[in-house]
Amino acid sequence: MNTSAPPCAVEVTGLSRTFGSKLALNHVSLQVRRGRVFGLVGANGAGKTTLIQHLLGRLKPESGLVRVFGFDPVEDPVAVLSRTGYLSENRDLPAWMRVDELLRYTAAFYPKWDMAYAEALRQQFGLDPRAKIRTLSRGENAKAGLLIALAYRPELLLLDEPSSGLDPVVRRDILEAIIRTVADEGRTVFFSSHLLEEVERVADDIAMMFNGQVVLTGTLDDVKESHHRLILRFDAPQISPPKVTGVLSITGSGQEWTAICNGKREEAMAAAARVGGRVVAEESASLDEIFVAWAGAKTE
Amino acid sequence: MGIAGLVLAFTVVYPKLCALAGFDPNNPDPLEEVAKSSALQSAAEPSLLRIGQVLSMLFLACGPAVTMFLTLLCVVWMFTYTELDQRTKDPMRFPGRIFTLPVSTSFLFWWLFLGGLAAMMVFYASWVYLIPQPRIKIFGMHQNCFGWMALMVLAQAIAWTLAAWPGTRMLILMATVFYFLGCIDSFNFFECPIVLPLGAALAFAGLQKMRHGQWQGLTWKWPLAVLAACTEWQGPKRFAPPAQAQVWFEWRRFAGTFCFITVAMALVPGVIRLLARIVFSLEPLSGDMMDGFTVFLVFLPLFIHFCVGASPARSDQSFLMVRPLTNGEMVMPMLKTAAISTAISWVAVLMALAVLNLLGDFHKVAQGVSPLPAVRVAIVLGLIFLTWRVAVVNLCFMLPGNRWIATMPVLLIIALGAGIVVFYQLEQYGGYWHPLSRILPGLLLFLVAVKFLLAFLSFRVSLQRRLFAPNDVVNYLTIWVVLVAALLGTLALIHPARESVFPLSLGVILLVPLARIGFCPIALACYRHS
Repeated sequence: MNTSAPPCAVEVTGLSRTFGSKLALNHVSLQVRRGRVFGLVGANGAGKTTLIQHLLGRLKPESGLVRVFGFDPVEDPVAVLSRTGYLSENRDLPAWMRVDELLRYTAAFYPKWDMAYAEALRQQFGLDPRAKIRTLSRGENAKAGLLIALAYRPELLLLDEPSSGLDPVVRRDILEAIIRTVADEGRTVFFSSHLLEEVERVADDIAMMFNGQVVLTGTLDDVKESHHRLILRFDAPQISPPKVTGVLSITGSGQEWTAICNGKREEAMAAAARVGGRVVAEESASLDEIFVAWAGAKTE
Repeated sequence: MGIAGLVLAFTVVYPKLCALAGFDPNNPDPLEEVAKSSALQSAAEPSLLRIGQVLSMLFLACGPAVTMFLTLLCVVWMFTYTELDQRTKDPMRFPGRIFTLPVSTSFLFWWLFLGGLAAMMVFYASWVYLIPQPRIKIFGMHQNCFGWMALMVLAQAIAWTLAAWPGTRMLILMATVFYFLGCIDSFNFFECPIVLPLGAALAFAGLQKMRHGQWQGLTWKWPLAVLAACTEWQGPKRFAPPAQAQVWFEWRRFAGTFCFITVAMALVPGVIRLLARIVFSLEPLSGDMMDGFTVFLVFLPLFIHFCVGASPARSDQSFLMVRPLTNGEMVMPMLKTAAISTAISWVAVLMALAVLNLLGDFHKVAQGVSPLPAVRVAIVLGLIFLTWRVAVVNLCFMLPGNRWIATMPVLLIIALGAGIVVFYQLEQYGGYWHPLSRILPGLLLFLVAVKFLLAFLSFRVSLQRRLFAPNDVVNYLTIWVVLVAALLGTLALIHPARESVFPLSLGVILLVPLARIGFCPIALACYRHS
């Protein structure tokens, strides 16, 4: 057991997992530093939830290592779960409980439970304490789940698709909760999401997953800086996407095409010139464009 | 298909079994024949063999009737067309997807109504006319197909009309079932024109309302607030230790509901009958009815808790698995709530037996069980222990969350039944019992040794992997020792034959769960860290 606090809240090394014949995670490695907001993005079925389940100890690695605060979530689930707040994608809260019962029950397991903070959150989220969980809407369910994940000020907040199926107002509440958590010293947030504009708003570090592999990881700024959107103009209209080596994706029609490249800017420019194109504009790619470009590249 | 298979199996196999056993299914009093054949057995024969013979005769006497009863109840349930809702765990939810089909409500209703009536008539006639079964007058159900049809129509009416209030619906449905079971023999053809159309009209209205989402906003909040408060244990304002919170959680999510059902099923029929007797000056219940009621009451908690223990479906497992609890800390509250549920259920049963005393000659029933009060007390204590046992002994099969492993309890029951039949058949060919009775104590001793070895291994592994806290292990072992001592003391109450004391004592030790409890945290780990 580690006696000193590890620098990373989460360390995953060479993690692999199969379900039957499907390789859900393929030698996944990543690190989540303490005090950072880590956004995990990926298409449906990329393996995000599977990875999060490994961090909670719900799944046992077939190969590789998972450590949360230096503990193995399978061997020592209490040490991990007592420091981790979790909001599941399915919001699986006991339907028969009332909101006040949910708070009372959850509070019993966390010595650091802050009653005043929990009550303030409950009021902010507008949750009726006497309401049964089964009568709550999807957004209220998410808020109730987030409430019990935040109220004891966990060192690590794990959110699996926190905004999925929620309206913009509820999404804003969840994002504010994330930001507040980060504002507390030393707290870490790890969340998976499809909504890239939200990841861009709050994440410090990101990882992109496709087909069970992490294809891209780093700070958000580094990722965006390393990807460029090149506007290419061709002398002759192109009937099909021109073959420009060194780009992740190329979209457009006629004479004007947009290419996303990953660090290989000069190579892409030279390749475009070889097929009769020239770069007329260059910008930083948004996270959405980077994601779509990688998704397309991985599909091919 | 299953019911048809059962009917076919009984049609083909049952007459052969009766011929083999020398049992006459046309005997007007089959239970008397069972009693006589038991009495004819030599007292020198081993008690296990006699028990086996009696059980097999009981099966021949009552098996067709009980199976018929269960299959017809199954038909009633099938044609309410309800199913378990995985999300809300409502056991009788009408599938809403049916309403998305391009069919009218009338078509749906007539299909279920007429289909149900037809199915009931066909299965009833199959049981009564194809299988030469003995006439057991427990509920007089052989005499009345119309009663079953009326029950089915009323079940449809209740299930569909009260869909918005699942708890109320379950209570009224159970009360209706029990009323019918008590009165089915007196239901006659002339009451059909009243009950069937009334039930059909209610059922149609209920289906219509369900389809259009009506009545869903109404609640029983204020009238049932007291009842809801009693059945829902609110718990303290703040749970001090996590263990207390977990006991509360287990009680509220599972054990409390079944305890409530047991208490209601034990008390409601007797109280209703008592009130009816007072108001309408009814005659005391007949001896057969008293016997049936007593058997129903004493086996009710056992049956309900067996169903609970063998049920693989536990809600909220995903929520529970991410709580900062060890596996042992999740298992121990399940044992505690099973004990609480057992205690409350048996308090209700004893109260119901006290009410039964006011409905007929209960003294005769008690004397029929045993003339000795100590034996009767020993039987009740044994049944209380068995009730707790059946609720917890199969946890190790349920916890891994694998549906094939979860069928083990049912397979074990079938294996036990098959073993009894095999015992009985072997005895027919004679000569084997004496060698068996010589090796039986050694065999039981061996099984006890295996049990202790498995318990040692399971607790050791659980402690090494920190699935169980040492305190929890010590507590459970202490309780185990106290339980075994109490049961051996209960055994002493009935003064068994000297040569039976040792094997019976070993049997008691085998019965009290030890190794299986030790395996529970390991089994839970299979689900928690799959």
